[in-house]
Amino acid sequence: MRKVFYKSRIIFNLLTILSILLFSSQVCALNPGDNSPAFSLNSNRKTGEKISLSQFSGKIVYLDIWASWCGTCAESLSWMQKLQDKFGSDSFQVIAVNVDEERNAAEKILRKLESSILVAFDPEGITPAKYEVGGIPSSYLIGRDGKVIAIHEGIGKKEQDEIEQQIKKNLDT
Amino acid sequence: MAQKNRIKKTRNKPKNLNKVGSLFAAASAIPLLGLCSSVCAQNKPEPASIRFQYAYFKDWQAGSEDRMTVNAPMVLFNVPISEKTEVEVGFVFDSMSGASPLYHDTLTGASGKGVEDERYSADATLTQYFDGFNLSFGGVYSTENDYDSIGANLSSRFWSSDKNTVFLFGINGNDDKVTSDNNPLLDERRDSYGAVFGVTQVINKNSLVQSNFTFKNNDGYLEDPYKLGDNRPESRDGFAWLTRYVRYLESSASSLHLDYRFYLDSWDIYSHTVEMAWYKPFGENERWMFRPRIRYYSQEEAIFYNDLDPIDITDDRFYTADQRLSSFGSLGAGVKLIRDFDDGFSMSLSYDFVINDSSWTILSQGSPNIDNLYLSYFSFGLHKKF
Amino acid sequence: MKSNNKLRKTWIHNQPSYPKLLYFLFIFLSITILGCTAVAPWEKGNLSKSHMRINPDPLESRFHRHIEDSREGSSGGYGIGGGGCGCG
Repeated sequence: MRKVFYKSRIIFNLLTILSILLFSSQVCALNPGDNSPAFSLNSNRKTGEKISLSQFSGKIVYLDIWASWCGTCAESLSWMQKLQDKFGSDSFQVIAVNVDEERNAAEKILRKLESSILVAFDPEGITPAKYEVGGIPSSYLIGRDGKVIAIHEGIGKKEQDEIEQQIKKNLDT
Repeated sequence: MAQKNRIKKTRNKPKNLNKVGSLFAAASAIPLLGLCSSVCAQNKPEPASIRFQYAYFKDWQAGSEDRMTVNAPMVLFNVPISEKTEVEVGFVFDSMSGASPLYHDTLTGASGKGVEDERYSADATLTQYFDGFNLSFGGVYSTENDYDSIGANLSSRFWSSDKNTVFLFGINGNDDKVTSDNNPLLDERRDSYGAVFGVTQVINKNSLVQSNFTFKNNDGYLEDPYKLGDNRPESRDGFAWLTRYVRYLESSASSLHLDYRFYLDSWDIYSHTVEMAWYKPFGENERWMFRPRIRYYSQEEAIFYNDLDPIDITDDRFYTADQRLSSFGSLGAGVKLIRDFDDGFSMSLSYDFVINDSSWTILSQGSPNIDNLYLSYFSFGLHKKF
Repeated sequence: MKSNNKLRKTWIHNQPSYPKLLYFLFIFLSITILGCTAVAPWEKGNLSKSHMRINPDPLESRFHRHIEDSREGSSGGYGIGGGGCGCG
């Protein structure tokens, strides 16, 4: 009797926990078609001025949220440099938002990669919070009208090809 | 009479264990009270890596010249074979030589036989990632002169949408064959089955905790064929509860690892294990890492452990004089040094020393008449991340 | 004639600390799951450091467990690897 009682209590506890878990899943609130949240951040521009999304209205913007501690981010930084070089800066802009608490770590990687892409620094994590980021890296392709075209979490080879296609398509229209 | 005293000791045990057991269980719950949780989960294959380790181990008993040495090279490959699939393959080779230590100093004569044994072991695990969970299937094969083992395991990890909680469910089974260098007629089998349920939970941006519950069942020939008079039950059920806590210390940019494990089984063996390790990066670009660790273990003897001479056992009661099933405490300490190089390459060197002493147990009086056992081992490791 | 029936009866259900273990298990799991605020993905910098893994050196752990299991009467608990902390 005691055996059965304890066994069923364990099963009940496990089911309770699993159902709490299932019902607590978050739904990403930012979707393609939504307006991209604004931001104003320090950057690696030599002039020292802050950058904001509105400065690039009329251009296709590729916004990437990255960190020095993220394993795949270094590789995607190199790829973003190629993107910027390939599509130029007349109608296209890459903005890489770094969320490291210490700027040194990010600057070290950028120096090592000899990267010249535009980087914004957000140590307080205000931008990823606004963009409802679910993982690092995450990227947002933003149209000329400031609306979100596509969202990607994790930038593998497959995502890179997809994103390039999307940029090409939107630049041509 | 020694036997009567032994029974008395067993009857008193529950009271002591109640206090000590609940004290430890409460202590392991403390870090979680009132703290928020958030957990990291690995939800896709990791980049490829190769690990190699060469370990040298030696143990000896106080008052004995005889030693057992083991040389063990091992290698582990982790390879992603697609964006959602990865494979892990491991190989171990143990070469053991020397004299088996005297486990009980009332035994005379036959012990101290030389041992030469080689063990080969291979294992492979395939993991497939899905949305919100993964599935792993693995197999292991191990063979040596007097022992063969084949096993399989199936496990799954589920993570929450914010990847802050990870659940682990796993089952495994093993089929073993036991023979003996001393007795060519010995050909016995033993099976084991096990299950594990675990939770990993991030507490805050600097700490996380994992707790695993493991159940196992062994059936079949469970004796040690080299121990005189060994007569053990044909089944053994065991339960282990391990809690592991990791905390990042911002002031020193280091991390502290704290483990506690509670174990009990149907042979009445209880044990508590506490282990602590500190990882401290240092040097230019923090390319060096220093890791001291300390471990304390306390075990209560099996119900049929008996330090009478096997010659004096005239009936077929369960009996073992195997030191490993006696009451004892163990204290071990070690240090490790790791050096990171460019291109994801690193090297490590570690040394550990352990003393098993029957008077160091906190659970009850230690088993009498057993000499201390000393263990010394060092290992050299290489790691390459791609 | 071996009789292992006696030993089966002394197994876990009759152990006095067993109900206490279940209580702690339930409390432990409830607290962890019903925890308050979650750590956001961009705040996991410290947790992603290699030495912050539950099992930073799997080969070393294998070897240690092998030695401990062969010299002691307990085993298990370490499960099948550990929950890691990766990117994202």
